[in-house]
Amino acid sequence: MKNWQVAIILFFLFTACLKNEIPEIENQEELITTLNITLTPENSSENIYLKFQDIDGEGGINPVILGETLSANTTYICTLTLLDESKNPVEDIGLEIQNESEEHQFFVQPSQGLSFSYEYLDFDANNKPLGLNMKWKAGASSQGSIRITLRHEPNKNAANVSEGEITNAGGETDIEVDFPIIIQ
Amino acid sequence: MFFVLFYAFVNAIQGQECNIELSGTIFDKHENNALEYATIYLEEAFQGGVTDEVGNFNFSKVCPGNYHIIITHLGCETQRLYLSIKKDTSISIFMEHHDNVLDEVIISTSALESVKINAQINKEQLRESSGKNLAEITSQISGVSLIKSGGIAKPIIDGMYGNRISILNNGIVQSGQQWGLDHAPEIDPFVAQNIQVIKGASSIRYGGNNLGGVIMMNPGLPPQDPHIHGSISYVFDSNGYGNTVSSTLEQSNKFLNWRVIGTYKKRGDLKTPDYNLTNTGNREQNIAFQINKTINSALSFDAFYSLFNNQNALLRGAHIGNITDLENAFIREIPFFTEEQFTYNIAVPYQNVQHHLAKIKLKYIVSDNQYLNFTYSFQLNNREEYDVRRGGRSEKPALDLSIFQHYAEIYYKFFNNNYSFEAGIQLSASDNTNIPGTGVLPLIPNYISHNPGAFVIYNREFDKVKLDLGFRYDFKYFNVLRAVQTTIEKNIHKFQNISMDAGIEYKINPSLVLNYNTAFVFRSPEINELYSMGLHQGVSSIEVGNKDLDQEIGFKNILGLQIQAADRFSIDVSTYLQNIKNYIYLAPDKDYRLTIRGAFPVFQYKQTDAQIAGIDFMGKYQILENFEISTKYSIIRGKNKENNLWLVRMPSDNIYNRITFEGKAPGKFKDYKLSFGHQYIWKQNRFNLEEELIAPPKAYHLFETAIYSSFIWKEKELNFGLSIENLFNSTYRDYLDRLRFFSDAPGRNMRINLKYNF
Repeated sequence: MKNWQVAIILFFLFTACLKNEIPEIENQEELITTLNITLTPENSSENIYLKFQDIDGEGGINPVILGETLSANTTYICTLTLLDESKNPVEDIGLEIQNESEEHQFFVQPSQGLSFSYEYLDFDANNKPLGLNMKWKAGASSQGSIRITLRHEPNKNAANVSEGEITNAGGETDIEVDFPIIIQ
Repeated sequence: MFFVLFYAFVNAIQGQECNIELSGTIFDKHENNALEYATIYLEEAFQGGVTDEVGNFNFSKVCPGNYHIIITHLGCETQRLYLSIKKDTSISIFMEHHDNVLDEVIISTSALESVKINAQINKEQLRESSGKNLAEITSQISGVSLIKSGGIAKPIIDGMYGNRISILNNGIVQSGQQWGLDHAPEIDPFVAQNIQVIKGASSIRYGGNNLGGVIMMNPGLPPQDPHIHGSISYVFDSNGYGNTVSSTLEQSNKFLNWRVIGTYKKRGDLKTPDYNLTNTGNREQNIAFQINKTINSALSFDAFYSLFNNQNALLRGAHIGNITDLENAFIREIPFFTEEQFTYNIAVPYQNVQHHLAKIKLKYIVSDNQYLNFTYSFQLNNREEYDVRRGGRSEKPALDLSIFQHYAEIYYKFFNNNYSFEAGIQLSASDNTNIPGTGVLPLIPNYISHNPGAFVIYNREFDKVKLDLGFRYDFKYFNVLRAVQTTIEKNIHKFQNISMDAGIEYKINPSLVLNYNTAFVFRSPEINELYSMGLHQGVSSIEVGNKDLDQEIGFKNILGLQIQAADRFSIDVSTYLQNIKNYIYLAPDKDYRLTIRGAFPVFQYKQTDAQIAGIDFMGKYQILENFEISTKYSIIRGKNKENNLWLVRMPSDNIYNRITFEGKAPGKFKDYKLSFGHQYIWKQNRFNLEEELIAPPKAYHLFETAIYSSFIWKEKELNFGLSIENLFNSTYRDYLDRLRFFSDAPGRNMRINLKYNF
């Protein structure tokens, strides 16, 4: 009998050592809260801004999406800014993307009927497109949406991917946002 | 299920050189009758014989010396006995049900067997299945299916898996992250000498949360042999060019009986009939030590340690970011990231899992018919999951979990000729931690849990009737700390669980047995059901735990019938009906959750009333002495009674047929066994698309063939086997394989098994 009494005492000693440690709040390192798009018209009228912001990441407060009205038959220089605004100071995720340009590519997909086209202005070391800087061309008056997708590790050598065609790109989607757009 | 215990009474009579007579009788101890057709083999002398109808055997020209004697009998594991023969000798060998003697894992009592709601994989089947993982081996048992994520497989018993079943590693409930669909049991099947599935009252001993059943991996005991023996096994798999080596060494000396088992496995990318499954390789490095010692006639001791170490690559093309990616992946013929080149490399995404289990057990025999066990075990499980990440972060785990668990049990058993009584008190305590530094919000929070429990089991045997009754009580305590935004939230959960089980077996006549089992089981929710929070990458959906969940209450009835006619024909049918009140499941939300990565479907843990019913059928017919056909057929239906929709992840109807020839081979070859198998898996037509996201795949046929034999090489036995799975290299996808969204299942695999016993 004595053996087990010892054993039971030992057991409680073991289990008494279990204490629930206060978890460290994990720093969400790959969070992107904000996508800002700045459109500078070539005819030097005022800049236009598109914005997706989900300040606390997935869940919690709902994201805010701001679309815009583009001028018909106008070309814009388009600059994408990616931020993690949950951090203080705010982190520029665009830099990380820029540094890994070979592993990233943005794609732009206008909805059916929207008179719109675009071209890439920035390229990686292999001369494949990246898309932080683009040229957007708004055509005739129309209405719809523009989907911006950021793929991580796409196959940039697959058919038509470097022309901006997403179908064969593969990889994981890091950003997929639809902006409502009116062209007039 | 049986074990050979031998008491050798050596009667010395006079003898001469190489003219010694070795004779004896083999008995079944508890029925006290002689055993016919038991085979005896004197290894050193290459002499073999079979017992006659009164259990006698006789060797007349034995040289003096030391012999290893191998005794086998139908339904028993092959056992070895070591004997020094100097004169004419007569021995009596008693075969006894082994559980009572030393090993606690077996459920039945010495004098009686429990109501037989169980099934097993024996040593021979294990040898033939070497190279497969634990879940694949267990799925040979009727009513057990697999839920997979490519090469990672978990068992499902009667539609229950994960938190709803228990897996025992040498008598200890495996404490890993069993909630995850892609978390395989961390057990090396080479350690097993026997694997069992039990569903009756006896399963009550192993925890109260078993709505489905218990899978037991039993390592057995080192044989009673003073020499070092062992085996080396090698398995080659053509699909993935897998190489597995496992070695066992064992000895029973004056000081103690010991066994050591080491396994190393390396496999590269698997292949479907048409393309490589890039990044599906696997590594395993396992070791197990086992010792036992009889201190005196009343006290014995055994200790066990095992380390399971495993790296599993996950198909690169199955790593996706959102639902658009999932749909794209599903439409594609060949997954993204498929490489032409075969490789052994393991790249991200992959998992790295380690599981330590240490156990000590003291057995104190109080008197001839009662004993006490004290068991203590310690488990440590580390799981790291690596993902494809930005900015060089793939080097850090995206999920890093650790569990420490202590467990102690005091167990008492009393038995006599017609009844037995068992009782036990069990305490377990575990500490579950997210190792900080992943840079990702954890899927489940940190928590500690305490689970004291107690049970009683009573077995009674009448003339034709056996009766089992079991009762169990568990108290479960969770102390959860989780980070919500920037604050720490603390939650305490307490549950009281009751399990009751009653079984009756009626032997109508020697060839017809009827059994019935009824069970009432509480299962308290587990951590993932209460708290999981976040994106489930593989299925691109968000899973949300529900801390208000209550216990599930299962009420299960099993009715079984076993027919055994003239040793040539047998049927085993089992039907079950289980009603589960407060069944916990993932219910799809109406709204998608909008994030910067797109809109995700949201699933929340909710409760409903469910009903699951099924039939498991197994039949065997020995047409000729050396020619047998067998069939295994299972159907299962699961319904959510509240909305009348089908439950997800219920195995579809399936049938498995096999024909086996056994034949004599020439020369030093022993008998060979040649088999052909056919499996047909029906399409799962009973599904709810909202929960599945993508409809189940088509029905499929699979064929397989295998040949096993052995021969004597340098006086030792060498077992070998050649088997081909997916013989016709069929292209298919399985409903219960998560990779069905992304790729076809692996194609043909030719497996070579070699085992050298020394």
